[in-house]
Amino acid sequence: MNFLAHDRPCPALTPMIVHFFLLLPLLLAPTTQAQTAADSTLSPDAKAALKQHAAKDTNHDGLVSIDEEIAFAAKIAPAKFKPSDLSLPVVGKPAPGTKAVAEPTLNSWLERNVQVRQTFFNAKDSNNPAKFAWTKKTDEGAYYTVDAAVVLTSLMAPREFTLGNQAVWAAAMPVFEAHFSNQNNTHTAHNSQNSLLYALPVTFTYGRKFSPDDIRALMKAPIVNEQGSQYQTSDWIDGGEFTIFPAYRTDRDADIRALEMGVFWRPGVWVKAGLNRRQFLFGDTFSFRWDPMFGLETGRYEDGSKLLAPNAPDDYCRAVGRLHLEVGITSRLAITLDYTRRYNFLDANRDYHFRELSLVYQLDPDRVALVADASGEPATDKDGKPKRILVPGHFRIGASWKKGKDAPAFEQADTYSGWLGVQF
Amino acid sequence: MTRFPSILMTTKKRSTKAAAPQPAAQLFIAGPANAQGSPTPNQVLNFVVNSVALCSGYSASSISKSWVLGDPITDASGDKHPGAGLSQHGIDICLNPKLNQLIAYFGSTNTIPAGTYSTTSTIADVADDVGQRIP
Repeated sequence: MNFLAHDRPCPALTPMIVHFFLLLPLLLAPTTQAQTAADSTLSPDAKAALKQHAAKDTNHDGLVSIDEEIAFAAKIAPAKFKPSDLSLPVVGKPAPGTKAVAEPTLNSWLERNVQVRQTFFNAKDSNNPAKFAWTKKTDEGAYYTVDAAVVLTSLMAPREFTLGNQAVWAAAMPVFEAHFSNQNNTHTAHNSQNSLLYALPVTFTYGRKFSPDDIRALMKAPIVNEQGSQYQTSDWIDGGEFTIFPAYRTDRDADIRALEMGVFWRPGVWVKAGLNRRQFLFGDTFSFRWDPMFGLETGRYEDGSKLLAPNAPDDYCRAVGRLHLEVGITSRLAITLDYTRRYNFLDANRDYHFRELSLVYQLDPDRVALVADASGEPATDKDGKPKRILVPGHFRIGASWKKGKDAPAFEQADTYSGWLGVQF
Repeated sequence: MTRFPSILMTTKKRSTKAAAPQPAAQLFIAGPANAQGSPTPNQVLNFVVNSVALCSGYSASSISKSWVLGDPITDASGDKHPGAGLSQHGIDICLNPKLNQLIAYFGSTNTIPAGTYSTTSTIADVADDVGQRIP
């Protein structure tokens, strides 16, 4: 039973009334008798309610006012709870394809079959290592923190089947994420966390099916896009990918259990249109590349604390479209645009738009410089050739504009920001 | 925000339909398959180059082993690598299925999952990896 449904009028009043009737017999009795009765006859649940009531009743007048209710909620609430975006996880090893030779060791097996990171659902953290931490401050108790995400990359390596003239590769990569901490919360920050995620993204990547003759011809010599060759880049979209993404997540801190499902489509490469492949205009002056995604995402949330986490999403079934566009102007100026639109079929008024526009200019170019030895002179390799190093540019300026509401919490954003980046 | 490569256009745009083969093409002369029926390294390299050409639109004869799959880069040695201009999705969705067909053609199930290659992987890296996946 959920007494805290925030869509009712005056939501904070509801629990106050419930508590009032629960405690009415005690309030009518003398205090000492009430305490005795609570100790001897009340059930554990009633005792817990009584204890919570006492914690809320900060002025000890026997009643919990709306202000006291709000103050208590702010004190214990996971106000910063944000379920992960159901968008596709950021998996993949951003490293050269060449791997070490397989060895009969656990390390070698893990290198080839598993990815372990801090998370896979946040592009900024997806390349950070998993963290297991124990922290002890001198004047406070110790706490531990676990932020770990695991993907089994080889449970099902891509397997082929044919559909018409298309070769379809099906692959599955189970994802598990755990984020724990028993850190104490404060009035201003919610530090504890207790969430789990189980997901099984299944991808179907398709493209033109090669015949044995095609494969033999393509192995023979570089012939694609040569004059007279039958093998030419497609004038239309080459390939694409469907993803089915079921997930189950729990967040005991926020009293949330959610079953989620997404179906997404991404097109492959369309050279003439700059789709997933950089296209140049006017020589090298302008370039652009874009990457769309379309899909349907649905979720069923068992959310027992809507009042405490009012931004946590309700059940939903949404169409989603996403576009990423990069425009390059000369070699150092770039404009990027990300636009996402979500339309919730379960509520006609839930049409969410989110756009982020950024302009970035690198003030000083990257440069190749000679490597200095211990005496500050140019270093050379064993063959006597000077060693060189790429020194990235140090200064960037940029501006960003964000507007709209984006998953998962759909908090309104309308911000402009300008920045100067310095890196040495 | 996506990081934009600052040396994006440090190399001249290549013609998508090169009229004359470049000297680099001479590296790809195919040899006979070995006794086990596996492809030679040059055959794998040719297939990789042709697959990149199909996905990028560049002529295969202009693509050399030092090309990277994404935007052009200059590495720490100061060497400039021309690029095919593919995004990560372009690699995973367009290139990988083509390479996987070669791997499956030779009877191997050690296919390439998404994310194996990145925009900074070179043609030589990819060819080496594909060759290792074929017994």
